[in-house]
Amino acid sequence: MQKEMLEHGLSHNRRRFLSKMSMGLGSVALGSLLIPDLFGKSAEEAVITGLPHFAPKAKRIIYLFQNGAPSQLDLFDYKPLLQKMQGQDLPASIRQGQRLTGMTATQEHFPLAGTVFQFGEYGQARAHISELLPHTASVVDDLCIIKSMYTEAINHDPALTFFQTGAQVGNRPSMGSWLSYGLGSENKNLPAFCVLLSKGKGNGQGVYAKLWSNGFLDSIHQGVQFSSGENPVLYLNNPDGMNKADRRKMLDKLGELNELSFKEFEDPEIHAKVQQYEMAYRMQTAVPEITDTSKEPESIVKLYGPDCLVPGTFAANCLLARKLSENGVRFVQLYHQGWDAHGDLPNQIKGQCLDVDQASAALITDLKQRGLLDETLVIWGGEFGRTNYCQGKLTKDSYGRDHHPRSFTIWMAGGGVKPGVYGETDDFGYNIAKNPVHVHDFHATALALMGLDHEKLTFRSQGRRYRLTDVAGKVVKDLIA
Amino acid sequence: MKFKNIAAALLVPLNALLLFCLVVEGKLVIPAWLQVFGRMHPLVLHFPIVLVLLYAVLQLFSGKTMKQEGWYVVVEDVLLLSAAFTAAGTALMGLFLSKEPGYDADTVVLHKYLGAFTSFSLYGLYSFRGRLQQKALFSKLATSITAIVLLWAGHLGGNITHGNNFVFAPVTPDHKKPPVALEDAYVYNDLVQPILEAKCLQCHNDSKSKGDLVMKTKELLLKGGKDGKLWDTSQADLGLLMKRIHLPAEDKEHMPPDGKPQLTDQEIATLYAWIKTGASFDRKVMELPETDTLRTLATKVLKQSTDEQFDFAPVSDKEISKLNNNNRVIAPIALGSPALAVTFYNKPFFNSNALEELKSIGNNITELNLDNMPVKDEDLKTIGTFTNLRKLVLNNSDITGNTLGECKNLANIKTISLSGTAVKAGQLAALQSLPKLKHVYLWNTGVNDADAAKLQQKGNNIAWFTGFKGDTVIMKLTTPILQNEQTVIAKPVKLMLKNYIKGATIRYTTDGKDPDSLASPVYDSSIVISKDETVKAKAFKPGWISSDIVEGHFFMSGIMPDSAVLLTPADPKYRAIGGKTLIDLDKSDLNFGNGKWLGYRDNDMQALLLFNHPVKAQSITFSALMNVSSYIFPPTRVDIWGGADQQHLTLLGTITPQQPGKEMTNAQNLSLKLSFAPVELKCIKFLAVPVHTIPAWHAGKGEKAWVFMDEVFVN
Repeated sequence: MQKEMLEHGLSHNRRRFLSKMSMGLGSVALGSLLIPDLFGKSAEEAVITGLPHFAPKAKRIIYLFQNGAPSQLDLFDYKPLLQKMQGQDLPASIRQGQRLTGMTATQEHFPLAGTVFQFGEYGQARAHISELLPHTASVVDDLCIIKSMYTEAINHDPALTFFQTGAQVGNRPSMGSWLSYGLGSENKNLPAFCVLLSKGKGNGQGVYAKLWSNGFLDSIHQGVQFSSGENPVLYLNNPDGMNKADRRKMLDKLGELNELSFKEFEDPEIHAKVQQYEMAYRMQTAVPEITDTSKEPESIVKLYGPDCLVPGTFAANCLLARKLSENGVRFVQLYHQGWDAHGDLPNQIKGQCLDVDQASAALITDLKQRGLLDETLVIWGGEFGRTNYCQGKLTKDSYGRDHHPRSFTIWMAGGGVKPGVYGETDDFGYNIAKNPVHVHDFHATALALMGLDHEKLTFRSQGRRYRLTDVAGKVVKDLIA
Repeated sequence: MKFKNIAAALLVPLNALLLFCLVVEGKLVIPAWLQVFGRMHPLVLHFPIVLVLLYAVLQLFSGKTMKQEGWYVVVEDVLLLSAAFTAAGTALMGLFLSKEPGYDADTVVLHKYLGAFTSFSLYGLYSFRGRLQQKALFSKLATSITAIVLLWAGHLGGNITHGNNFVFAPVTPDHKKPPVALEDAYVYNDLVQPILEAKCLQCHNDSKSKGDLVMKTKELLLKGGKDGKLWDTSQADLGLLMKRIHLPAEDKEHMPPDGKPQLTDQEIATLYAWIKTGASFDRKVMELPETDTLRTLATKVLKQSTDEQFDFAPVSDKEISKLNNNNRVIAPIALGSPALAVTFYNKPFFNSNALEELKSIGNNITELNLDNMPVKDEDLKTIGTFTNLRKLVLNNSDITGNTLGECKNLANIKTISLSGTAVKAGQLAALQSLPKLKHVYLWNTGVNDADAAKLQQKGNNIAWFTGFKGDTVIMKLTTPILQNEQTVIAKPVKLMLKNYIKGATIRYTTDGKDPDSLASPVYDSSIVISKDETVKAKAFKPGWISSDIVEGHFFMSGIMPDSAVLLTPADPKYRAIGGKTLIDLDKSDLNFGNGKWLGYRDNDMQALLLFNHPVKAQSITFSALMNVSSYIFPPTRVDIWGGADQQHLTLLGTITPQQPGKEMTNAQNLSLKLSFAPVELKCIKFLAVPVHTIPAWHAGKGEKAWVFMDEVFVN
């Protein structure tokens, strides 16, 4: 018995314990193979960026943002009822207590204002388009017109910020930054996200750099604003007395210093900075050729309109956008200001349409004739719509329209969208009657066209994962061809 | 022991009942309480499986000596009995369950007989266990057969509940046909046939032609079955097929019969629309009108399948990164895709070698973008080996089109872009034989619309795009731009005019007349302005409508006041730099918010211009802004006084600017001038009065208007 006890004791020696333990550990290890996220490797670190999640329809986006909010009722959303009821009050049953801006909230009456412009029906979809946009009407078969957009914000800045970043507050990454983050740049010699500004004569609203901010993403994803002057990228050329070899040497030395600094502080922004220096160096070769529009054939000048050679115009920006896009810039963001027609709308909108109509349509034709429209998504629209009732005094031929987030029209073209008209508003053009598309849905759909699952494109910041679509948004499959 | 006896005794009646039920199966009606019993089949079935297998293992693998031991005999006995007992119960339950609808009939039949066989055979093994002990080999064989049949039955049972090939599905390669893209799809082959295959062919095939109907081919479908033709579009119900499909599910004639997978609403709609439109067998989906029901249905079914599946093996990441650089970007088209898209950038870095290096991954390249690269004709030979190419972009390259024949092996190519190259119509015949080619882009090439129309006539599905020519479009030139930043000048300056349109001529005048295409002088950069002058310029170009006129006012700064004092404060939002704004020689543009304008609304503007020494003056000019839509109007009047000092002033005159009318004008700079008899003075005072009530035609009717003022010139 004693011997057995001794043996029992011996059988539980350290070696045995360890070997058993290792077996146990081994089996745990085996089990852990089934849990890829074990040992702190959390889901967001598994976010693979730089490639589409699935085969994309579009590779690039050109976003023609109509800043200030164009009036859908005078351009796309034809509502004869408003003309019939001209001057009568907007029925409360239609308004449904919708909040108004401070500009019309004190108005006692909300007289309905029908458009003074003629509408025609165009294309296979027989889409209504105003006489103000004859060129747009000529490419209607390539357009996917969404008449049922809606947003949450009622004033310019939050609405614009919402459209660009998926949140009304600032400092979130812009749509272009998300795409740069998700897909990387195509052409390493150019920024993946470029911003071009222009201004019409109508009542304008500001645009600010926060709209093309990288937010919490790496600063290499920030939008690069091009100047509206004759040199779109300022200070790109080497100064007198500095040649390319000197510049290279300088960058190499600077890179070494930055590397030392990185070793000390480990701030990833140092590397981002170095990358930006290197990109600027490569841009010295790439940019002059791209921004030179003097070699464009006369047919292009006539296509976009002669303004396309005048720097800083919307037409010139459209032409430049095509050249940037053609050269692999993932996201070209245009802003054209001046659509905020609270008063004198018929007059102001005429000028705005003259600025943008021909060039917007030209961009589509131009991309198409190069075989690029299939892979380039063009988006045209403002941050919200305008009211069906008049702000200020309604006269026979003049009226103003206030902000209207409940329904408005945007269009998309190319890049795998399905041409046609999507969604409807009610006869007053006030509420959406069919197929509403929220801004988050729009973002989700645009990302899907680019081959990205909006729920998988995440970034962890301050303890939570963020998406362009926040926690909402669904892909509108019917918009995809 | 008691239980053992009872179980053994029950074996006979259970198996007898099972046999009986099997024989009269067709007439059985299961009462509800028995259905509950039947539904326990999926639970109980695990007992016989485990018990039989355990028994089989003992039988097959235990040694002879062990088989002699007492406990072994008991265990084996109990095992076999409980196996036989539970097997009989399970089989009975299963039989009851099989009477409920919703199971795939064919599988159930086999499963049923195998289950019954297992039960009978176990009963046999148990009954003859004593005699079998003598014949070890036969015993082993019988046990094995029973076990195998049981496993087979179990497997079929699994298939019934979980679907076919449930176990191996995760590792079975998908043998589904690659999805067809919408544009390639045929109505019958890709929409109708898959439905028939899934829901009808099971009973209406070569080996099992129920109702003498086989639905496999076009001919056989047209032939119909023993009840006649399948469709007749002259009938309201479109004939036999649709009628049978539309019958209520419990009707005997309803197809597919009860118990078989039913057609979905969408499938029924598809068959209906197909037959209604004449049941065509060789029509393509894209040939249908866009609003056609069938086409709409097709877009639902085939939409997601337009993503092409690639069956070639991927190349290693290492190989890709080896070839990747800043000017030759190679990337999979999506995560995990073997297909690669290659794009070249930066003209100076391109050469034929850069293209040839791609041969090692050539089989994987599906998109090749050589836009703007100096690609030579002979490079097409390399490109021609990339046989998986879907899209090839050669825009603005140096190819002449002579070697387009090298593309003949690009059997998968869909899109070729040749815009901006020297290709000519005759060379394009080489592309016409490419089987999948859909789009060819030929803008800005030697190919004109007539050539394209001719190519189009030759049939096949290729669309030839020639794009926008614009040679018949007549447009208006842009207005020349006056680039002089300083329009208030102290010394002569060069006149700087510019027009961005190549080949446009600028003509100008300084006499206030509109420039004329013949009479007015042509602008060149040597023209100098040396006095107060109004320049008008206009651009001309043959084939273009001449531009609008640009007008610029140059002011000699004349007599400079030494200081300026505002007697009434400007509006806080538009204070600019105070009184100095009037005499800083910085004339503002039209932007009222740029901080260079003095704005007044609630009070009148009053200011003093002071000179240190007496000056002789005879005119004064004010710069004001008019921007009606922003409520900025010209002042209603400007009163001007002059004298030796503030206390000794006499009225020099009053300016009454013209007020804008209803026809809105764009924002403009106004130049308000008052001339008077020469007078010596050291002090000028002026008063500008804003419009008090905006006229009725304006949106701001009744409100106050703004006055905006900038430079003042004294001469």
